[in-house]
Amino acid sequence: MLLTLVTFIPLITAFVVLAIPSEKKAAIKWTALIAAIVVFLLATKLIADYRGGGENATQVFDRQVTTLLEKVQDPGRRRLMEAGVAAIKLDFETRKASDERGPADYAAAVGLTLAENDPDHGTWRSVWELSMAQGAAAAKDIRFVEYAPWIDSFNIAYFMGADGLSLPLVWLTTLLGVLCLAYSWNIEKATKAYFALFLMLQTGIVGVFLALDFFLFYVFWEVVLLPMYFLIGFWGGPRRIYAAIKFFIYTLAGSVLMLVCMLAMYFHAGYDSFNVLTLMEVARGFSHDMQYWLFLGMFVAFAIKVPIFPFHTWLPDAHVQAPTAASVVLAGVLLKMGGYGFFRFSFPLCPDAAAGNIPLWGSFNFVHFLATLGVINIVYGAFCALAQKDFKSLVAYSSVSHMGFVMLGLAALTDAGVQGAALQMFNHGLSSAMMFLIVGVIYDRAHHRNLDKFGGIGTQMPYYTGIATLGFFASLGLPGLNGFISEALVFMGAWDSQAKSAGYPLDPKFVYWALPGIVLTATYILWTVQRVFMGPMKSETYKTFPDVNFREVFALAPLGILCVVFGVWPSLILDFMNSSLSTIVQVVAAVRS
Amino acid sequence: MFFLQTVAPTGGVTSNEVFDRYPDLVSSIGTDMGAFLPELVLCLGIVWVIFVDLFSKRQDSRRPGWHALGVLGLSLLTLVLGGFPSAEEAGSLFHGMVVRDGFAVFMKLLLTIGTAICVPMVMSHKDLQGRRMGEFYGLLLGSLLGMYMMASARNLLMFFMGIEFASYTSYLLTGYLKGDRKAAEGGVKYVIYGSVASGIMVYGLSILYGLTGSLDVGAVAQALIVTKASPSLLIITALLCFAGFAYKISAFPLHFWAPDVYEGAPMPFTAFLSVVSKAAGFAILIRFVVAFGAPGADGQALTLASGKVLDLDWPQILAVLAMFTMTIGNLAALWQNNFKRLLAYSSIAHAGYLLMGVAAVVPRIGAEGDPGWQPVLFYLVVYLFMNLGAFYIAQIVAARTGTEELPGFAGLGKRAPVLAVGLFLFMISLIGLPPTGGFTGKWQLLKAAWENGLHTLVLVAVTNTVISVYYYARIIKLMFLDQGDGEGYVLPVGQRTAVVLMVVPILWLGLFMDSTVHLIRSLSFAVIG
Amino acid sequence: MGNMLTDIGLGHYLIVSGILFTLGLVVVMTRRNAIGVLMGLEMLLNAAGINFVAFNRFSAPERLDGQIFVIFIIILAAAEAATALALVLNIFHRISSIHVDEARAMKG
Repeated sequence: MLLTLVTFIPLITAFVVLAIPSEKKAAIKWTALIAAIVVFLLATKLIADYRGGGENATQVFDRQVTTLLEKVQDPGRRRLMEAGVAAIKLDFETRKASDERGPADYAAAVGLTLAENDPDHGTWRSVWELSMAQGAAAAKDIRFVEYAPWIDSFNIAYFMGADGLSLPLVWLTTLLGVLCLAYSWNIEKATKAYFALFLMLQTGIVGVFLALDFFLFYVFWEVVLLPMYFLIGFWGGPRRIYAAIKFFIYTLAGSVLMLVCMLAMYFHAGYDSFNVLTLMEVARGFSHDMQYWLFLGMFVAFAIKVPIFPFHTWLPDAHVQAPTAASVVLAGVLLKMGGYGFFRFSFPLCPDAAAGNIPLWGSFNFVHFLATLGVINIVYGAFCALAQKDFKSLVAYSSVSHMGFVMLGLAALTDAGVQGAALQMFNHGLSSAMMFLIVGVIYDRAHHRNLDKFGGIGTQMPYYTGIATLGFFASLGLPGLNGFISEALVFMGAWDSQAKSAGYPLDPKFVYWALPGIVLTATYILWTVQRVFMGPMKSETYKTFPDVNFREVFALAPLGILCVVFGVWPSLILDFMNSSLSTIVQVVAAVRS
Repeated sequence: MFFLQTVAPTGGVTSNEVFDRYPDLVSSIGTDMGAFLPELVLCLGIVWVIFVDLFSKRQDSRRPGWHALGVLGLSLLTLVLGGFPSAEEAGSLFHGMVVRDGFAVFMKLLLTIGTAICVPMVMSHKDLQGRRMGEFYGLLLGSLLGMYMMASARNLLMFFMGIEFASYTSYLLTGYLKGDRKAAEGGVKYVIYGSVASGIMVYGLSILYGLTGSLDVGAVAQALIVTKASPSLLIITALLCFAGFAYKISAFPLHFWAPDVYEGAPMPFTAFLSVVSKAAGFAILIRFVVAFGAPGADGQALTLASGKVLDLDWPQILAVLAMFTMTIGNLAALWQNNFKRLLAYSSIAHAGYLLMGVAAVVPRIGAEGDPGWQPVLFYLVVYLFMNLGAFYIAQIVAARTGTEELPGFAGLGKRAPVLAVGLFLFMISLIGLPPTGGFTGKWQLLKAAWENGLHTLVLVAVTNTVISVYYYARIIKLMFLDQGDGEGYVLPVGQRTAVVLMVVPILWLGLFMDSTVHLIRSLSFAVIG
Repeated sequence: MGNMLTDIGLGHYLIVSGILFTLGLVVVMTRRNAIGVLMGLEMLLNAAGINFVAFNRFSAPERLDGQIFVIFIIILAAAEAATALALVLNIFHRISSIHVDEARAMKG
């Protein structure tokens, strides 16, 4: 129930907000903010409860299978079903011992296969699906499970669950929700629509992180699209309409490919299932050919969202044109939907591709592919950031650069690398959100973002400069701040890959190639700090700028504090994610040939 | 076709002799008439609305509209009371002229509801005020009657009759606004292209008759199994017949009439053409494909489908046609500035998506179990509401702004939020985004196509979806992101309710499609042959 | 089929109808005059009609369904001509021309 609340309270509030007359702006803002705070508290409760245990997906499905079997009247049929379940379980045990894999596993489901023409086919199918899901390696970490039939005709379920991978992202989303709504207090243009759309957006994003049914996931994924389109298109900068439609078409182009992959998997699963956990189990039997195309298709869908070079061109446009709060959500959590997709779908569903067992062409396999694009992202993004005159597009390109680390860490497939990648997603969520807020603060005063025209802000706005520097240094990766930990972990993981990789060992050369990115990042960030805050004031008007007000501090301070907290105490979050992440590594390790 | 089968070619038979020789015929016609009640209601209704019009004043142009609605309601009632015939009850009426099965009843319901939505649009259309409208409604009901026949035909003669009946009335309705140059042009183009298409079709039907020696679809299909005709002749025959259906559903290569006719016809009738007429076209296409479109039960038999042209067999030909239809529709729609014309191209594109569903099912016909028409029928239901809804809102907007061009929609979000949000939902449904029926419907079509191995077609279709975003989003952009001039207005309660009534099914089908899917899956389909 | 010249058989009818159909198509495609197109159209329908009668006579003479079909074709062709002529007359009043090319108020 908790997950449903966290997901749908914003949506319901959005409709409540729409029902409030537009003149009552204060009521609209407060309703939205209070709802966001409630959701944030609920998400915090989820985080707190998660470690406390509780029923995980394995136990839930085990119970459901038992209930299903109890309902079967015919004793003979029931015994056969029990045998099928036992066979599937036995199959899990033996596989774990011997690391054997392949379609032969499905021999275990023989009892169920016999049931093809049974009048009680529906029960057989459910038993099969749930038993398979129960055995998926990821199932043991998934808690707060909500499982209810939704569209029975196609075996689509309302299946929500959270694990160490998704919960931090959900928490981050709800946190940014609160901060962004507070920051948007000064929105005067169509306030009602703005707050309603923002809340709808939040439902979509949280839903994406929590959905464990592929169909449901896709629905949430698409739901994110339209609110963002309007937020950019209506409240954005001068070229907002171009940016909005570009965002729309790019993302949709990616997601339709995901749709095709979803259909392919659905039919390949044998008994038509959208249950992600079931698919994870079934995926072991997918042929290399199948995985090749699946991986490529999902890669494009997620790569556009991350964004990975060469699919990144929508991002600078969208970021630069979007209103500040939308940029924050875009960089903070929307990009993570892509990264999350790699963790949750690409890797577990195409383990052979992820392990580098399948050549992309020649001797170049998917591990090389991801690592290369990751390095390109890091270096190319940093170079582009260096060349920007516009403050906001500099931050946008820095996002491209930082998301490259996620790819590199994933490609390394060591414990450290994958942890670094996941942590980098979370940290980038904090630091990029902070940077966009920082840009927003100065833009609200100067009404321009040209870096060459700033200067000397430091003396005029000391508190602002302090917070801003903290944010920039977190993004730069200064030791003691959060960015450092994740980037270091990624590099360590990539370096160790030769020895410890669960998949194809990555050449340490990739680390060398990525290193210039670090130097370039330091360069553009320090240069920016210098251009904006130091030196003489380039305009008299800057003298009139007030320092940060309460609203801005309210949005910025929590992020700054968290950057420090996770910088000095990374295990707080690493321990939390550890189990879920090592599962991904193990799944891939199991298929490495 | 009792008399055709039993009466010897030479002996002249008087009607009395028929009574004497076949006493059961008369009584069976009587019982069959009971199941034919919805059609009879329409027949009488046509006469009735014209009479009502004769006895009312010219200014009273809405009065026959109310009566037409009454006739439609009565017909709907008889359909509902008749229920969906189960697989055991399904069969033929009038000695094999007409089929009575769940599929036919479902399609008739769909067609009637579509027409019933169009009638209020006619009544409120400003160019159709102050005229004698009895003929308009009479023709509209006549067109619907023809479509009833299309949905339940099982004899080649009925195929021909149904299509022609629906077409002639449509030609006249397109050119109904005699003073309007666009309408006049649209009417002429429609009648000329349409007649040519049906001329080609009837030639195809004649060859089919020659190959098999029968007009009964079941007998034709049976005869084809043992025919020694060459495969290329079979496929050419199938393609000639297909011309008639392709024309009705505006599929490539007979799609080119649609934009001009849609633009020229009065808006309510454009809506009717794009939805109801297309649905009827698909109904008859499905009937045709079921009878001739697949390998026989043993998988070896020859049918029309076993022919090949350029190494393509029938499902592949349909798939290629679907690809062309959707791509041409979507690409041409990108440049349109007239709302009706844009939706005309969009409806061509949707014909392509639906054709994809038909192509997907073809290989499964004849095999055991449900071949899976359900995605096509489901999409037709969704399409009915979303397209009619879009036209309905466009008509209200056009009446306010005096233009059917796209800029008339600028700033609608501010002027009339209810209309704008409604049109927005219809647009995202037409794109195929959740949480609307357009998404679940298109998803089912894609799923069916993928399941049956039409992978390229699926990729083309999703690419088309992305292309289509551009022009649908243009309307969304105009409504919400652009500034428009003109006063804001409060919508009358009636119009507001109508918009909501059409939005609700779209959202319902998008979120809870289960019950509809079950209903459609349970429909009986009379196996012909 | 025997002697082509003396034994008139199904083939002859089919050839005639085939020629008629082709001519009809050519007329329909090349003529710009609406009345001309309608004449071509009649040829298409009559080609089908000849087919029906011929097939009925030669391949299924025990039934009359092909003949009946032709009667329907004739009736529908008349109805079609009436409909089409009404619409053509209507456009003639508008643009004083019955050339299909002249009807170009709508483009795109």
